[in-house]
Amino acid sequence: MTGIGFYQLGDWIPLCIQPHNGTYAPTLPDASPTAKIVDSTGTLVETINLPIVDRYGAATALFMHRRFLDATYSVGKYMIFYAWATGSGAYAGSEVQQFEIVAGGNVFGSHFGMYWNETPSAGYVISAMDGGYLFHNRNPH
Amino acid sequence: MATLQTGRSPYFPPCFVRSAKHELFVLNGIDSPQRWNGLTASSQNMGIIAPTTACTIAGSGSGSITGTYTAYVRFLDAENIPSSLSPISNEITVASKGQIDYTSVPVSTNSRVTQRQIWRNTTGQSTTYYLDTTIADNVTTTATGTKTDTQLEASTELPLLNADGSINAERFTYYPVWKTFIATLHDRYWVAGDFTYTLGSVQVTNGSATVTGVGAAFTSSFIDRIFYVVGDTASYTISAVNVGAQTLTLSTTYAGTTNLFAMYAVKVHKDERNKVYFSAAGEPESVPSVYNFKIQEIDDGDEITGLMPLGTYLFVLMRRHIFRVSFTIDPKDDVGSHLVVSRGCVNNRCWVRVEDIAYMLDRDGVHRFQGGHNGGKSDHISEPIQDYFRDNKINWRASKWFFGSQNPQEEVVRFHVALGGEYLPRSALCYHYRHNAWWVEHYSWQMGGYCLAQIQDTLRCIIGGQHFRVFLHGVGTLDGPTNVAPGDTVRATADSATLLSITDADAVFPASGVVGSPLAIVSGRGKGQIRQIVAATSTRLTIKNPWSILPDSTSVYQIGGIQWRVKSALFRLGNATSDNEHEADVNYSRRIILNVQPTPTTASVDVRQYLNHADAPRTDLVAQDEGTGVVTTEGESDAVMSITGSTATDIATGRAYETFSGYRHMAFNSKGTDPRFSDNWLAAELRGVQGRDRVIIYELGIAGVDGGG
Repeated sequence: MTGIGFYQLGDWIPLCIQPHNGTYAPTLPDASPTAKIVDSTGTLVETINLPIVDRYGAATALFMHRRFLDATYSVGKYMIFYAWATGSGAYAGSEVQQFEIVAGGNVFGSHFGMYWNETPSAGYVISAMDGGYLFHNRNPH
Repeated sequence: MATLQTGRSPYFPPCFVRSAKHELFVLNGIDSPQRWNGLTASSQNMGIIAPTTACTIAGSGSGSITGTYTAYVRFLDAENIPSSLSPISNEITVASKGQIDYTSVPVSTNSRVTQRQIWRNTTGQSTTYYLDTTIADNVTTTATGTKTDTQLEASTELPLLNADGSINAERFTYYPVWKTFIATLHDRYWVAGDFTYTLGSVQVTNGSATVTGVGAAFTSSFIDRIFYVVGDTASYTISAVNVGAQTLTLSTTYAGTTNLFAMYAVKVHKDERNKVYFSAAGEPESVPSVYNFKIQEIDDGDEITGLMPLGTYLFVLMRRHIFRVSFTIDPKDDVGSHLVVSRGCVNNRCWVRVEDIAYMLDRDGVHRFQGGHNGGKSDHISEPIQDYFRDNKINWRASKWFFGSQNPQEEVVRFHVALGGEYLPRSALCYHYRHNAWWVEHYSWQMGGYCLAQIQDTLRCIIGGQHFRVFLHGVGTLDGPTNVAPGDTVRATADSATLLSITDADAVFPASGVVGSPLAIVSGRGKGQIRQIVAATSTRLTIKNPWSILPDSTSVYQIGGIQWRVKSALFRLGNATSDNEHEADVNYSRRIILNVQPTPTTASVDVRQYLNHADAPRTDLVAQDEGTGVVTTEGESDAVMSITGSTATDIATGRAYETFSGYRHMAFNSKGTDPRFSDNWLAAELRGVQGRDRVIIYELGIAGVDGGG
């Protein structure tokens, strides 16, 4: 089992796997590999199908997805169970990783846009967050 | 804080503009363009979609209405912003009727719509329609009009076309929902730009029109965009999107090879790519399909990266070119665009306007752009930090997240960029536009946006960071706890450390703000490392990511701290003409001189020497501490210059080399080595982590260089 580190709510966690066959050679699976994320009580949080990464053709069967740590998650430890099959089901592969969410994050995520909007009655800082939110904050001081 | 919208795509940063009526508009090319009037609890979709069905009309009763009539319906919001017209109704010919009955009046699904208007022509003409009646809700499907032709002509009129034949009644639509940038100039709103969407991968099947996305996050805005599969020459129009199932329906079946793991791209139609749309005057939401012009195609495939109003012109920014847009009376009739310079801008957030000059970041560096009546002029200004561009230190794959900022108090422009494999910027290329000085700053947090906000009657630079943090630029020096009492421990020597913590039994950490702050090792073992604090007890700080070099009891830590770095240009060192070593020393004494502001609390500056064009600093320093405030350690690259104004060897006492307060220098390679035949070139680098006091360096001097010193 591999630990992929500490994260905080509002971070993006990389789910990355390179499926292999029975001889551990990287191999395209029969279908997109899945990542089942399970919390410390053993409860399944979600299952994610992973897309392939092949921008430069440098790696065989490299799959990765960035998952935003939103309110689905909370502070604690999680396990990721990857699963795939190759050779029309002849080989069933699996791998386990773990990560921990530590305190101090925020489910709104990171700012990726800001704007100052001044109206006759008030001034607003507009915040665009990578958690998918658009906020206004009135009259900063 | 209040939420304007949720569920927005994080794929592309938004573009904002404010209207003269204080409305806010937000575009990103994926989500529906948004409008917020500063009053409603949430933002609304920009533009009101016109009714798609017609009403039915008939005459009834007896009276004075005689003629042949048709009617249109349009939607309006509470601020009387209308939609374009519905399809035309059935035509009726009536005589001596008392009223016109409208039935099947369309209702909008848009909650913004609060009223509807019904427009009717007068007999004998159908080019101008008149307001017959208004339905003050978005529910009722019937209405009655009682106006005769004379009364209609006295009512509000709505010509279908303008005198020049251009559209009028149908201009109330926001057509280019896929555009990513918006700007305003001369009471018009200009929109342009698009992007290539490649998130995740897809499963395509030969002979099937269904494409299944994996990790793709398709949205309904992809309808009518063009779908490409890497390795296939064909392109397909997307006719439908199932957001829940994450499938696309293509307008024709996929003719390529079945592929479970296909890379793909979604783009707008090629005809749209260099097209700029504009609004009707004073109507930001009236951007019909016919109000557009195209920027000249550049044979290098350049594409629009932003829009910038500067002076009296709008400039269309591309990666490697800038076009000036101008019109005399009405852009519908006389808009023109002209290439002005062959420099560009990496994205719409990487231009910063200061006093009618724009500072821009492109792949070649930073340039200063001046518009003007004669076209435009661009000067390359980033030569002192050109190694960042030349040596691929900048992660251009993350360039859509880069942004520029301005701090008017400091008179500094910053370009926030990602280095290495980072996603959001964590570093800034900084330019003092009065002194033409460059330096680079590194931050402990990622930063993703900026604005100049009016705070207590002053324009202040606000930076948005990760975990919903907001920073007021130039306030405080630590980027750490904000309420630090005099006795609180912010900087001290650690007792011990583990991979994920340090311990200091004597510490009195600030009461709040420690968790989430950076923890920097500023001296001793592990110097230069910065981690984020995720937990704190009275004596122990726990960090998010493990130390690369484990600190020990020699390590000085600091809670909070802004890393900074300045590197000089390359200087040629003077050559001795005498064989007399002493004379050579006198004439070509090599020294690095700092003129700094002494700090009340402990602070230091690290000086590194880059000799003879080397990429790395020299590491052959010898251990030396002559009590002058400059300490070197054998085998290390940093000469540590104290700039503290309160210690025995302080910078204010004027000991050793110092000649006045705030003056510190170090000698290098001036004795024991023949300067004629050894190091001939030098660039000096200053670096450090700012502590409780602001580090202010007035001057960096290098003595012993050719032509001066």
